Amino acid sequence: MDIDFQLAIILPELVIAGGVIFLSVAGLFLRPNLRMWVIPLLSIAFMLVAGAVLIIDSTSGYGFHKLIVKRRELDFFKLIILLGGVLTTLISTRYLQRRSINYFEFYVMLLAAMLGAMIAVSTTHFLTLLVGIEILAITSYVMCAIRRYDRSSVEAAFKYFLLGSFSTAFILFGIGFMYGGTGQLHFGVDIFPNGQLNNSENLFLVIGGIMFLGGLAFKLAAAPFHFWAADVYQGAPTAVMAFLISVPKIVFLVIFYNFLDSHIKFAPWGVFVLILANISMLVGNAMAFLQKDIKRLIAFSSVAHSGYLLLIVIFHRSEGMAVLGYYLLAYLLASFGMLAIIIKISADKENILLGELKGLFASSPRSVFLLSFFILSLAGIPLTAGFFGKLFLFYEIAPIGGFWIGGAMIINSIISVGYYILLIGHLFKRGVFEHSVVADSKNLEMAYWLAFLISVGILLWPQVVNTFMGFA
Amino acid sequence: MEASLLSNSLFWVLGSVAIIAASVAVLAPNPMYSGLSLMLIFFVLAAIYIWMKQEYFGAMQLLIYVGAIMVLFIFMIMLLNTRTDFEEINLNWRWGTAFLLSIGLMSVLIPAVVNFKGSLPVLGNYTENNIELIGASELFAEALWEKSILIVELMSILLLVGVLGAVVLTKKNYTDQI
Amino acid sequence: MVGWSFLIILIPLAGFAINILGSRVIPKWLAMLVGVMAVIIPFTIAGGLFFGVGEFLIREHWFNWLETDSWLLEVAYRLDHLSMVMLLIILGIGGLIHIYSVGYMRDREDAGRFFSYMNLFIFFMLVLVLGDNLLVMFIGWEGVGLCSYLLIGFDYHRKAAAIAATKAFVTNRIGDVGFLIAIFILLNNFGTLSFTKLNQVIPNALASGEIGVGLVSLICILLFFAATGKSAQFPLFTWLPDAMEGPTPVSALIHAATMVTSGIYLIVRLWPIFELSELAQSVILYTGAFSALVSALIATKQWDIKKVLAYSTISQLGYMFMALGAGGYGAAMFHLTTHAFFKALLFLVAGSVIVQLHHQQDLRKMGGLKLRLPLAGLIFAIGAWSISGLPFGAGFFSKDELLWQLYLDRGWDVWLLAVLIAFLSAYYTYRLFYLIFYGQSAEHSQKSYPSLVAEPAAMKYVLIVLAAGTVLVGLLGVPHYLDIFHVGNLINLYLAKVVVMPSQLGIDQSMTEILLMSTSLAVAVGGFLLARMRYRKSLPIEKDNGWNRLLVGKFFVDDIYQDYIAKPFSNLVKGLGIAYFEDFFHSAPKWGRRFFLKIGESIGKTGQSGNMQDYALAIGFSMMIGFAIVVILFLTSWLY
Repeated sequence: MDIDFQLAIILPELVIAGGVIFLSVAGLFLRPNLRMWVIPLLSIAFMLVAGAVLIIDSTSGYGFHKLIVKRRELDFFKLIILLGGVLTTLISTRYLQRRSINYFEFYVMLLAAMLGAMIAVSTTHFLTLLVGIEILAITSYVMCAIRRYDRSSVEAAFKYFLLGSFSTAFILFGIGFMYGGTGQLHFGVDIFPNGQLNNSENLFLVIGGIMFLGGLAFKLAAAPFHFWAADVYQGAPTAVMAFLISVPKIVFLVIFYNFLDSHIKFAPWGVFVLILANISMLVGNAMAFLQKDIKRLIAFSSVAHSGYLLLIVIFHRSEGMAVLGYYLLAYLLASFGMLAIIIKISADKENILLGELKGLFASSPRSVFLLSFFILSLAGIPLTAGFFGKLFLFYEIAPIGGFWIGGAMIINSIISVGYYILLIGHLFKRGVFEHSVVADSKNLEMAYWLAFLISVGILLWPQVVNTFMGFA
Repeated sequence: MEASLLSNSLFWVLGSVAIIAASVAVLAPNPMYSGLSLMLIFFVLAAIYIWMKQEYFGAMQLLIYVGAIMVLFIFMIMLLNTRTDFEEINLNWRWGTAFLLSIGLMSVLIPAVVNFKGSLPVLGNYTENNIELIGASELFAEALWEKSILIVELMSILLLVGVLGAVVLTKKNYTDQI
Repeated sequence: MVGWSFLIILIPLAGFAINILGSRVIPKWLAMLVGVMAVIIPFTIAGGLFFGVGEFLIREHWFNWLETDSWLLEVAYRLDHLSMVMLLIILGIGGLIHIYSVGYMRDREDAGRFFSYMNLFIFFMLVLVLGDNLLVMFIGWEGVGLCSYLLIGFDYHRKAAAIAATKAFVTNRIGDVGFLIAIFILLNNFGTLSFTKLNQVIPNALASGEIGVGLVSLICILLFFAATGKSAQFPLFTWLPDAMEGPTPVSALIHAATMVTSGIYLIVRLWPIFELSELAQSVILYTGAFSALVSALIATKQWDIKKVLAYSTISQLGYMFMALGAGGYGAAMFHLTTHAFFKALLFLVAGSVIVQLHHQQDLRKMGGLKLRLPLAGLIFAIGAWSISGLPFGAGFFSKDELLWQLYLDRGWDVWLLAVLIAFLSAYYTYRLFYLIFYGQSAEHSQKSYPSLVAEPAAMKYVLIVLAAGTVLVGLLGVPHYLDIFHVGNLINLYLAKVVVMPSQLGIDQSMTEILLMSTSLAVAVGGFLLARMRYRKSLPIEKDNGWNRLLVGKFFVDDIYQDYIAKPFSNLVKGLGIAYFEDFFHSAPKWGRRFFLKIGESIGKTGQSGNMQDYALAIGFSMMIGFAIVVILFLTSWLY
């Protein structure tokens, strides 16, 4: 066991893990007014170091008895997970400060969530995967409940916690069945010899897989496992919501991809995921039309996005990861940009209704411009990054999935434009905007300008994902 | 494993006890009864492990689940003292639907058991011979501390964030103290 | 030097960025300095490349913009002999006009904005000529259209300027549709937009019978349609005269020397494709000839000094298109070069006259300025001499080569048409000259303009430099019977590395050439003399007959478009809209929305209750979907 190589495989995770331990201790020795900006700063520094390691070091291979794997494709996802972490930190500082929540542990939790997400992405072993998912989940529950004197926040966190545990039970049960059916805890492409498990009469394996996928679908907020999503996102702090609708989505889609990409791809699983994808698109878009609260609207639109993305999990070619990566990056940037601006314009109120957006254009035109840009990106209107995401997705799924799959995706995207445009329409309504706007948070501004600039960057250079993953 | 009548009937007895205890745990109106019957399930599981000649895991099951976790569980129930709340739950429509769900799960699990072909592959060194020769705990330790060291380390991080989260969410007036 | 070539593109962009971002901070002198240097520095780099590298083609691949299995779009630029010629024209004349603008804009508060737009224009123009494929070129193409819009409407508070800007923009969009469709066809059929590849693939595909000549003609005509928009040819030429609402430096740079020639450049760039289609060549030739003739006729009756020059520009561009239709790519490029010089010169000197006469543009209110504006008169004379094709002016050489090319390729009839246009251009140019500088006595002028605005030094020196350039530029393409020192036709020799050139002329044809040249010369002198006779002494009285009305009314093209295209179309849309479409498009989303609201409500009522036990049950039931799939698939497998 060549220890240098092993450590090189998990170096980014090691940096983050070191950060978690260091910051959780260091915070105790700093004065309260000092640590609320030192800890986030250090936390960002750790994430940047880990990101730099990911970019520079292109080592690939299995490590620690094949418990963990490093590949260039997965590195990209870890990189955008870290980007999500940096953006969450940037939009949280002022948010927490304004609500006088001064637990530095929030940032430690966020950093630990990064660790869990990165572990979960970069493994093809059920147990490592489970531990990664759990680290991500537990930290998410805590971050969700960080406004612990607020009833709705606690209720959301509690719902998330109980239902999340329920779904973890399904995941664990599924893993148990699959282990019972095969005696294997690995699900990687390289690890399974071809065809060893290609025995669809193994009912334990099939049922276990269905349970596993169902549990993952819950975490992904794919319909009909999505009911918790709107309630939790609505109650969660807006900064945490930005994290919840993007980072876990990246993680669980990659797990879906890794799991279904291996040789143990059975027809029942594919049909199950296909049904989930179609229901998600339909239900997400239909429910989004009903919503009056912006955060709930975004929640349901994220359900619809899960649907689009599940399609590529089933129908893809060898470079499908790049398409997934591009779409997720565009989605992450648009979500973060959007929610950062919602934090900006809702200084005195947690949840803003659509009708309350009137007069925003007059009071803060720049916010409206950026918000419209991000909304259009989510909708996939041409000349936004989201458009390229949808375009690549369509090019990837249509040749394999055929007419009906591609058509379903297109029709659903067209339907979704309806409520996105309604939302933009509300932004430009005349009236007096009644809420106060955060005017002096540099971090918040940095977050949405960063999201905007990267969006424009990947618009100008859409091949960046392919290039990074080494496909081009 | 020789299939003698005695050992087979022992399994069926233990299994029936586990099922009854599980039903009580779900259906009992008093949470204290639920907790105690859950403890019983863990006992029976330990017995089944020992019946399968996995004495090491039987002992672990008793030590960890019965000895530590369940005791904590029951203490918590006693401390919360919310017996009255639980009694109000009646058999409304949710029970019916939940029952349907369990029937559904059964309907796929039974064919899975019936239909199961072939034997489970036993992987690694954990064979009956080696258990006799080296000892279960040594083999287990090897698997845990060498093969799966990464998972153990990750579990420690998981516990760390669990503790931190518990502190953040429960400690009163946290900010005033430091 | 080669490694720095990307700076040529980036420096104007940086100039734009500095001036637009710092518009409130940067003082005017600094904004002007930045604006001018952002063109001068790239010009020196380009000059260095021109002299420093002999046999060159610089092709820099930046990145792949989009890539699929069947096609590849890359962002790359190329610098070869053809783009070098364009580059030097754009940066050279552009630099001079930037310096001229320092004088022209000295009293304006928004000079920073002006220079930032000008730099942006230079940037996009460079993208257009340096792009290695049609996509990059299209970005530049759209970009220069945007800058043209911004600069025509620079005085946006003047309603006429705003309307003219919109007209230019919209008209160009119509042409761009052709460009886009051509791009789609090319991408769909050949999977590439790179000039090098297209120029090889399409002739090969045609030779091997993969595609028919009809497709090639379609592509060529679509591209030419785009060119008619940008280069102001029939049927999309009406925007250019209105574009004269912009500041004069803009008219000189964008609407005379550079942007309007991009249509010519497009066709020369893709010459191997245009060579393939006889039909497209004829379309180009006759459209060019028609535009040239019509606009030259209109120019003879205009009273606005800049509009005359605008129609003259259309006419000269039509000339170049005629040459392209006849396969004379070198001749067209040569005329493009000389035209850039003398037309920029004419515009700038017109601007100088306009400034000195307190922004007077009406020719009827000028006259008799010969002695009061001696420098302007002298320089205008040089420009007029060149454009008319009188001996040894720049236009003499280029027009002569162009006519010779037409004669060789198409014979007498087309040549005669071109000579007629040459006559008209000499006539309207000298009409302009005599109306400004002669026509009335100096005393009359003294009475109407007691004082003249002093001309800024920057404008004066630029005029002198540009006049010198105009005199010399003709020497680039000396015809061989005048080639005493045997240097050859420099511009043709230079471009021959990229573009096919007609074979060298034999001695026996030399006599024909001299004969033809003498004829065209005589005709040009005739035009000059006619103008001198009519306008030297006084303003002639215009007869109000049908022909004059037609010319003064600009052949009523604008009115025809308005009455026979725009109005019926909008009526059609209105009529149909009220009947069917409006109804449909109003109610369809409503129905769709209602449908989805229904779905949402039914789910919301049953599922989205907020109760956690319900959610858990829903999860369990959803899991049942999966189990049901398993059961169904297994039952079916047992059936077999």
